[in-house]
This record gives sequence, structure tokens and C-alpha cells, in this order.
Amino acid sequence: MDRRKFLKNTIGGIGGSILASSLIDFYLLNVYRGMIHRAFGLPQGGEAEKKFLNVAVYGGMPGWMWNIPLRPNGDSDAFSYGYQTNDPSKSMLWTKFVSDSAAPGGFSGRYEHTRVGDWHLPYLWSGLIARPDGQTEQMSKLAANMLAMRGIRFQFDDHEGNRYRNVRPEKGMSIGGLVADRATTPLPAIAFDAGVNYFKSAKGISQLELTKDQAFASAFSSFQGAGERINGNATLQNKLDGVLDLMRANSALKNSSLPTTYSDRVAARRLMTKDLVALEAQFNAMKSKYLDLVTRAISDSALRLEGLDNVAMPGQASKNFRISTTSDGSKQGIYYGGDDIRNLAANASIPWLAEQFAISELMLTGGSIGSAFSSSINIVAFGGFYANADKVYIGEGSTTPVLNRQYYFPVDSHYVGSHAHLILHSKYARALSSCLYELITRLKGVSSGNGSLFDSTLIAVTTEFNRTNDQLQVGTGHGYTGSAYTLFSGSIPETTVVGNIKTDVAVENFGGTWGDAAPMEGAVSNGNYLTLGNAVSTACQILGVPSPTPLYPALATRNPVTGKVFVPQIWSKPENIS
Amino acid sequence: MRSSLFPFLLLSLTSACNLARTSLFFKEPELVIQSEKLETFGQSLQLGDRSYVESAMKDVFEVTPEIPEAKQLEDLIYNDGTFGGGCDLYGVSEVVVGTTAQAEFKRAFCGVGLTENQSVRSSAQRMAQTVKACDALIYGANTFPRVMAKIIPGWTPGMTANRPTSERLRVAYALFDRTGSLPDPVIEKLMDLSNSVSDADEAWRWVLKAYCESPEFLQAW
Repeated sequence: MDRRKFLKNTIGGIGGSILASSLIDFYLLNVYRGMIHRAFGLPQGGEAEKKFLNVAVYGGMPGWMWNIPLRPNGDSDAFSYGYQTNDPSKSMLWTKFVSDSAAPGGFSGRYEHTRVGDWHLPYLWSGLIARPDGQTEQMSKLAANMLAMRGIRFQFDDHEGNRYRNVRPEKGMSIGGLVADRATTPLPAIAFDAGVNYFKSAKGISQLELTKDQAFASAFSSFQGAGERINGNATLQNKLDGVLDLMRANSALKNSSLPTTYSDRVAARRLMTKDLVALEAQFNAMKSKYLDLVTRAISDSALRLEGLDNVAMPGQASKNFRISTTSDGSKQGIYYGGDDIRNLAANASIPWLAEQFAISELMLTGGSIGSAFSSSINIVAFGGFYANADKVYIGEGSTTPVLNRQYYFPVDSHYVGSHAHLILHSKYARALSSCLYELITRLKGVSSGNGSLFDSTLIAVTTEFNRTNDQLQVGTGHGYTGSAYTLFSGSIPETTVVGNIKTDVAVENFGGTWGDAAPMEGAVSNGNYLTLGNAVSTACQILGVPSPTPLYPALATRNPVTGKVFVPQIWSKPENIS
Repeated sequence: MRSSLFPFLLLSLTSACNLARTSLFFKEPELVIQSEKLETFGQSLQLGDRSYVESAMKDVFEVTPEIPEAKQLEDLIYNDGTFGGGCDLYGVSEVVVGTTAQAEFKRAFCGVGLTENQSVRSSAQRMAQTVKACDALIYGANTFPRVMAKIIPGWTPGMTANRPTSERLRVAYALFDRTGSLPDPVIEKLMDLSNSVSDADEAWRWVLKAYCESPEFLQAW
């Protein structure tokens, strides 16, 4: 019996068990957190150094298909009007198609969910994802160590700002900076297509920005080409290192930060002696692996899910089949017009996603070298994909087909119709899930401290906001008042959902819920709504670093004995509130 | 262990009854973060940016524009974003390759890399580039004789009489770190290092590597 259960049971024998549970949660939340904070986040006995990966999905993706369970408890009364209207002109809140002869293309849709553990997740989680060995895996396995926070009221409606704020909510330190400050890895913090606003370290560590098309080279080129002078006479090099070690000790008397710079020299020399050619080959193999996973997630027939992409649905030049806008400035709609909507995603690619996951895997696991290169990684996942549709129409109602048209589908889906939105976004989410699952599998395979590297790593999947269901017949808006923040870590022992949402946003004709936040006891901000501060504090709690937003309580805490994360009882049952 | 937690539990419950939930939750992290900023992590180190580091090395090794080491230094230090520093409009020039105008020093473009790296921080990349630049200068056909002539007036290559001595080691260090000095134990270690090399010039190269790879002289004061 773990300590939490023991204490609960003990108090439960004295008084009312419900009261006792809440009080024990209070106790654990504070005393344990205090212990962690007093330790400044330094690894406890046998605990490994923490790693943090932020996967920032660009564009603000709709959460109700993937990371925002709209009815996590499976309650049939959790919604009012709107969530499963069959009128395709009024709802985007679908996770599954249903036959409807009166609807465009013969299909309408509804919100369906699937049971995963104790929770009901969006329907897509009942499907399959690709594995590198050519086989498939249940997507629900990805959720095994997931903490899905929903119903978060962001303060700003802002693409750029929210992307930064997700990991650096205020002017001070970023989550990655706090992790990097404690890192012993040679490249404490790296970023891929992120910006300087993502990262701030108290120690003054800089985040190395990798170049999109030269991910490996931009990380390691400084350590290549040093020649035999660097790797030459080992005896003399050791003596040289001995001299510099002594100079390093002496330097502390001049400036307390100088020894850190000496350490950077040691890290540099360590990397200069590695076989970086072999390492680059490993990176390229990883990149190919993720590229294959993305491609299969989008187009492999073995992954097609019943009610989603297992039937041929004909398109037409109507709003529901709008897939994008033209890029010529006129912003005319592009509408799918072929016989099989699955052909929409032919040859689809998500630029840089494979490179980003490959560099993340390499940096976290160290490849064949076997020790991590970096402890804090920010990647910005391209929000959408480029694809080639077999037949489209330009302009609503057009009867002139355009064949083999390349187009861009954005998760920033202001102008995407309901049918195209459901199938395209599901494919994007499946691709993202495939990459996450593979990375997690690799992390699980590496020992770290008393557990695996996945136990000491926190992956935060973030996006600028959720999306609303209040647009006229087509498209979605910025759902910044009902956002999500999704965490994956081996220290999260089971699928967990936190956060309250409203059952009905009460917008005329677009009722139902897209995940707009509802008040939640103990959130301590603006009318008890969860904010980004709560989400960031939760991530920091799991990482064992002090939160940059300490006024906002974490929604989960970590048992310092077991290292496992749990949600205090006051927040353990997310609700849909009318 | 379980029983030892019980007094804390009772204390905590008592406290919980008397304190507002918010204060119960959040006082400690606030104190911790203050402590962390002010005491644990000082930000007192000011390293030189790309201009400073290039200038400092040029000064020590007497790098003049016409020698090949100048271009090596520029590529390794001045045109490398990891050293930080402001945008240099004069670093942008164009050469024509075929019919296409291209930047001669692409990384010197304002807005392409360097403007995002104006902050000067210590990093492994920076030290790797520094090590490479040091090697280029220490083994440079022009720069090695020039720095040696500063240490030993009238220096000529390959003379055994030119071997490092304690006094010469201090003179050489002063070229790099004008305000600092080396304690005796470091001098002793350096003598041990140089005595491990039979060739006098090569012995000096190892000494110069130690000085050049030490970060003191690259601080911006």
C-alpha cells in the first residue's frame, strides 16, 4: 500500500472518508511539495535528472478530436443541445461520421468517445497508430501515461503570445530554462523553430536554435572538424585538462560564474571526441523512421478507423467540404470534389515534424552514445499539412474541377468545413500521436535513475488555444477561453483528465460545448477558472522545479517516495457544468 | 516511516484549518524562487561578444588582415551566431555567383540568426568554436611566431633555449589576462605539461592552448 492510500485509510477509520481524503490531499500537496521545493528540484535519492520536451503545435488546434475529452466521465447528460446535431451547417464538434442520406456526401457526424482506462476519450483514440516495424498499435496505449488538462481559460487571444506563454507564462523563467539550469547535459537547451521568447534561464543559459533544414549540423557542427589536434596525444590532453581544472578552481575566486564556462569547455571537448559521423547516420535513420510514421498515419489503409476514414465519401463544392483557402490573396475556398474524401490526403506531408522528433529522440537518448545531449527541448510542430487532392473546386458552387491540386490544410481551421475538418484533423492528430508514441517507446527503453528515461522526462503538448464552434456554417474560431495542456511522462501512472468545462456555451445556433472553461474549486484565479498558470505549475511540479507562476496551484503533485504523479481529490473528477 | 509522518500530518491539518487555502499552497514556492534568483544563480559573468572575442584574439596573436589566419578567425568567431553581438550592417556584402547575387557572409545578415543571438552566454558551442580558433592561431604559420616574439624577444623557431620557464609562463599569461595572474600551483602544472614535450615550440603550443582555452581573457569588463 502506498503512503497516500495508507494515510487515507488511516484517517478514514477515524472520521469520514471523504473529508479525510481531501485533508490528506492537502497535506500531501503541501508537505511533499515543500520537500521538493526545498531540494530546489535536485534529484532525490536514485532519481534521475529531469528532461523537458515541449511540442508546440502551431496554429491552435481543435482539442475535441484529440486532447480535450468533452465527456470524460461518459455521462450521457453531460451535454445539452448542439454537440451532436446532425445539421452539418451548425456543428463542427464531430469525432465520427454517421450515414445520413440527407446530408452532403451522404454523411453527417456526431461526437463519439471511446473508453480508455477510467476515462472516455475522443473517438480517434479507439483507432490504431503506426509502429516502425511496419505493425500497428492501439492508439489508446499512448494515453497510458497522459495527464490531459482541459477547461483552461487563457487570458489572451493571441497565436504568437500563447505559444510562448505555454512554457514561459510570465516575464520570468521558462519551464525549459528552469530544467536547463539544473542540467548536466552538454547542450542544456535546444530549440527547433522556436524563438527567444520561449526560453529564459536564471543561470543565463542560452537556448541553441537549430536550423530547420540542417537540424543535426546546426546542433553539432561546432564540434566537428577539429582534426587530430583535438583528439591527438591523450597524455598531453590529460595534462592540459589538469592545468585547466586547476585554473577553473582558481577562477571561482575571481567570478563565481567562471567555473561554468570552464565546464562548457569540458563539454565541448567531450563532444569533439565523439564519432559525430556515426551519430549523424543515426539521426538520419531516426528521421526516416518518423517520416514513415507520419506518412502511414495519413495514408496507410491498415490504420483506417471505422466511421472516420474507412468509407469512400464523395465531395462537392459545398461548405462542408471546404479544405482551405487559395493563397492568391482572393481567399477563395478550395473544395474537395473527388469521389473519395480519403484521397484528400494523398501524398500529404507535415513539414519538419520527422526532423523535430528525430532530433528530440537523439538529444534525449544520446543515440548510441547513450547519454542525453540536451535536457530542455522546444519544438514547434508545423500546424497542418501539405497534400495533393485528386479533384477540387475553386469557389463554392463551382462546377469546374481542378485535378491534382496541391493545397495546405491548417489546424488553424477558420475556413475548413465540417467534413474536411474531421477527416483531415484526425489524420494530423494520428500522425502526431504516432510520433509521440514512438518517442515514448524509445525513452522507455533507456534506463535512467531507478526507472526509465520516460519516467524522468515530461513531454508537454501545447497549442495556442482550442477552437470554438461559433462560426457560420464553416470553420472554427479561437477557443482561448477553453484551452488544453497535455502532459506525457512515465511518472504519470495512468490516464488522467482534469478540468471543468461548460455544457453549453449558449451561442445561438451553435450550442453545446467545445470545451469552454467552467469554474473549478481551488483554481484561485479569476472566478476560480483554471488558467495557464495552473497548467505550468503542474508541469513544474512534475519536473520538481519551482513554478514561474507560484500563485496558481498545480493540479497534480508528485509523491517523492514513489516519484509518481497523482491528482488531489478536489480536482480528480472533472465536470461538465451547465 | 509511516508513524513518523503522523505528527506532521496533525500539524498540517491544524494549519490548514487556520490558513486560507491560497496562502497554504503558495508561500513557499515564492520564497524559493526569490532565493533561487538572488543567491543560487548570480548573473555576474559578462562574456565578450563576437566583436570582443575576435578583437581579443587578434590582439594577442597580432592577427593582421592580410594573413590567412584572419579569415579563419572571422569565420570561427565573428561570423558565428553563438558568440552573440549586435547586427553588423558592414558585414553584409554581395558577390555574384553566376547571375545570382549572394551574401558573402550569410550569417552576418541582420535578422538571420545574429539578431536573435545578441545575448552573450556561455555554451559548449561557444567553447568549441573558441578551441578551434585557438588551434588555428597557435598552429598558424604567421600567428605563432608573432605571439612567441612577444613572450621571448628575438625568438626564433626550434631553439631549446626558448623552452618555457616559470617567468616566461607568467609573461605569456599576461598577454591573455592583463589583470590576472597565475598562482604557483598552476605554474607548476604548466611546467609539468611543457616538460612532457621534447620540442620547445610544441611545448609552447600546449601552454598557449591552456591560456587560450581558459575563459578569463574573454570576459567583457
